[in-house]
Amino acid sequence: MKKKGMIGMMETFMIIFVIFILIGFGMYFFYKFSVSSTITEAQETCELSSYEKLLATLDLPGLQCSFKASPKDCVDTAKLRAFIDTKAAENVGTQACTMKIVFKQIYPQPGIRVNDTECTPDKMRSPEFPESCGKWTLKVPKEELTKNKAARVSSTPVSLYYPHIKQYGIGQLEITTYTYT
Amino acid sequence: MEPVFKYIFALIVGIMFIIFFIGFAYNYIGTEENKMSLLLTKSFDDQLNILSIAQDSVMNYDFGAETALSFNQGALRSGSQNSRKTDNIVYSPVNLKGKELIIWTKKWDMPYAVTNFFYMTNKNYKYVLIYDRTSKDFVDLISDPKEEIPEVFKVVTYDADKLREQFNDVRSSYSSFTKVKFIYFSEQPSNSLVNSLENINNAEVISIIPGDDSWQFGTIDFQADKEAMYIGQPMLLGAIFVDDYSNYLFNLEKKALPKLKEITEVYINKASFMSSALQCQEYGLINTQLQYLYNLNEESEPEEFVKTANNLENINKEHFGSECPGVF
Repeated sequence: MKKKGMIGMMETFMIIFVIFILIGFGMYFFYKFSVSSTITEAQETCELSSYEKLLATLDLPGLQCSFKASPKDCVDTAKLRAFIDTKAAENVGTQACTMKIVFKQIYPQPGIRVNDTECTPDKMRSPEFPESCGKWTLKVPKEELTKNKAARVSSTPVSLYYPHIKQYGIGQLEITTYTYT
Repeated sequence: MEPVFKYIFALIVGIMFIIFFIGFAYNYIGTEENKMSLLLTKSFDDQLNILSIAQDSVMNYDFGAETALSFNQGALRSGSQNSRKTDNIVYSPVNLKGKELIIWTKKWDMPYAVTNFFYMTNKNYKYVLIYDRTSKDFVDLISDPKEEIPEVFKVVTYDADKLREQFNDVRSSYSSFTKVKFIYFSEQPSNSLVNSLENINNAEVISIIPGDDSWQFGTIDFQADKEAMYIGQPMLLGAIFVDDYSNYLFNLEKKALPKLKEITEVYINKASFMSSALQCQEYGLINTQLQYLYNLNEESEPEEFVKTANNLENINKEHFGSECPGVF
């Protein structure tokens, strides 16, 4: 009688144990699914915000051209350079995702050897400018924030204005967002 | 004994399962709510970022369902969940609950574009602009939808003397609103009127005292010895829609003035660059004024900000031409 009771109890424990294992498995897969859907949502949000950032960056008062205090549809490269050199440039971007923001010069075409050269005040003052350099980096993320992440680039053409030589050029605003693969 | 033991055992295990599943469901609901509120505040903040490009734009933001939002000292929150810091300068009641929100944005120039201010409210709040003979023209101007405050805000204007006469009618007609804000524009606000208005349960009273005839700078009196300056008309409009003194001060000292400093620094750097590239003496002249504006802070007089901005505008207009392009 005692032995039969022991076996019955063992059976019950075994059933409960199996049920717990099944629930554990269910929880694990549910958790995996939930995490992956959250990451997908975060990536989508990040990509969406990069498009918004494209629009907003072009109209930042610290970058936009202005004549007699009225704004015009172009990017003032002297202001862009000045803006990059201030602390305010660090705050450009979103809280949601890691971004790199670069203005690239397309026309006049910079020389092949300098198309990846940053347009510093010295380069911009040189007589060869605008052929003397090729880009203005507004924001570059720390290396550890981009490690093991996929980069997605969105870009838009922009009109660049060089006030010190009173000329216009054509450029490209490029925003790279880094998301988990 | 054995069947009784089995039943007790089944009961304990059953209770454990129920507790586990209920706990799990509660946790899941909490996480989802948290996620939804984060998404809501983020998409709303993104909407503000897009609007910040626009100039003097007004819109009705429809949430599609009853939604509670709060804006307190630069933090945007939905429900009781974590808040999101916003870079936008928002003048609104702290708690906004409803299906729709009215958003108006206006550029703050000093004299170059600094940032956009956002004014928000909903139909539960009423704004009453009070004028006397010293402020009638100005109140007529800002309450005219073609000039300043859009019609959708439904602001009403009252002559101070008439308001005294119709005090009881006014009190009863606005009793259903969450809050009625009385904004008293005057060179010398009447204390007796302010005190009577303050006795209304759902009322808040502020006085706007101009620094000169143009109303471009002056003082906002939030009562109870709480005063703050305003610089430019967009900031004055902010005082109308902001909830309280602390939020106004936060927007002024932690948001607007630092933003002005940031943009001014850009122009200082640009003027220095232009000066070295073109050898024009005019850049030195404008840089002095820019430096002066940069060094002003919350302790400075509002008049100094406006005067310096006017000086900068004149120098930029008059001293620069085709040889030496203007700084802004």
